[in-house]
Amino acid sequence: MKRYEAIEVITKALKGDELVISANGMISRELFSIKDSPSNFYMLGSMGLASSIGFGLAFSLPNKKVVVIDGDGNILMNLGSLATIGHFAPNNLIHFVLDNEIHASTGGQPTVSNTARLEEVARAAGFQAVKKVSSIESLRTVVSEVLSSAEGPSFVLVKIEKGEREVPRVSHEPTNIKSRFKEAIANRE
Amino acid sequence: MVTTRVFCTTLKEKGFNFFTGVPCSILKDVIIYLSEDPDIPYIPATREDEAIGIATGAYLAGKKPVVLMQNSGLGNSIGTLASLVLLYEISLLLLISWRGYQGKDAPEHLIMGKSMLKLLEDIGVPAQLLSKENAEETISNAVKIMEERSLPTAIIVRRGVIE
Repeated sequence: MKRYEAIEVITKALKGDELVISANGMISRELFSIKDSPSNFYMLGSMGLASSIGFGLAFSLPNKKVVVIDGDGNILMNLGSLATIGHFAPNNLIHFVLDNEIHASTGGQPTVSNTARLEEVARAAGFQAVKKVSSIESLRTVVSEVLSSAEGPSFVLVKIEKGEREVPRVSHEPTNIKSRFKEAIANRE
Repeated sequence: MVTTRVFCTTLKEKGFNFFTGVPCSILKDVIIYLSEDPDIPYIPATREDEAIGIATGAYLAGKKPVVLMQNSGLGNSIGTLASLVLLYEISLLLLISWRGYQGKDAPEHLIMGKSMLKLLEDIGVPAQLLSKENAEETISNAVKIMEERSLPTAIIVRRGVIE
């Protein structure tokens, strides 16, 4: 499974009322190209912080599902975030980590996620539901499970193959990404 | 004199309703006070940049967040301020303690103590120095900067100002 396919499976399963935070680099670009939406917050910089933004959002809006689409390079920069999330344990947060064991957006330099067992870190940190998948079929099953479950926070490690599509950069102005995201929240309340 | 209670109550009266950060001895009592306040959350973060990320999420959810940190943590935060907070115009209040003030402190605080205000100015974060006489005015100004200019803004706290 390539990253593009994993993001397709996740976005297709969304019911429409979730808020999505995507990590910088190819993850945001592919999400933008697969399914642009005002309820997507494309994190263009601040590598490592997608899960922290998702946590602040999920903690503040306990009745909304918050989906974080993260990468291995990203979460390895901010493992402390898993400890904070595990401690406060918002049950409305779903954290996907698309793990290709490289920094794909900067040219494929290896990360250490081939040895570091990120799902065990999440479990030890206090995530309530922890899954690891590596096929499209199993991802499809797990995504629909975690999206409809009241148990959380959930952590889904998605092992993916290297490789990406030629996709454009996110073309929205950052301030526009923010204002339409805030509007999307307001419109659903 | 600004007491911890008056300072925290004023922040709440001005609408701040979400607090996160990393401790500093200068902000010790403020953080204890906020942590014990049942009306508002105080989220202890593992790093200052994580705290800013959490505060950004809270801001997107409609909260008015404050991030508390020692100025040593400003170093951890510059990239996040530049590529998240300033880029998206996220209005956060940064409550930053000033270690290394006037060059009198432990050695690890001296370089940041000297450069903090210049760093903030350089990246475009307006900063105000809190004094015993101007707490309410300083907080009101911060709110004005955040609302009218969509900027993050800093209030700098020296030892002994909040008692």
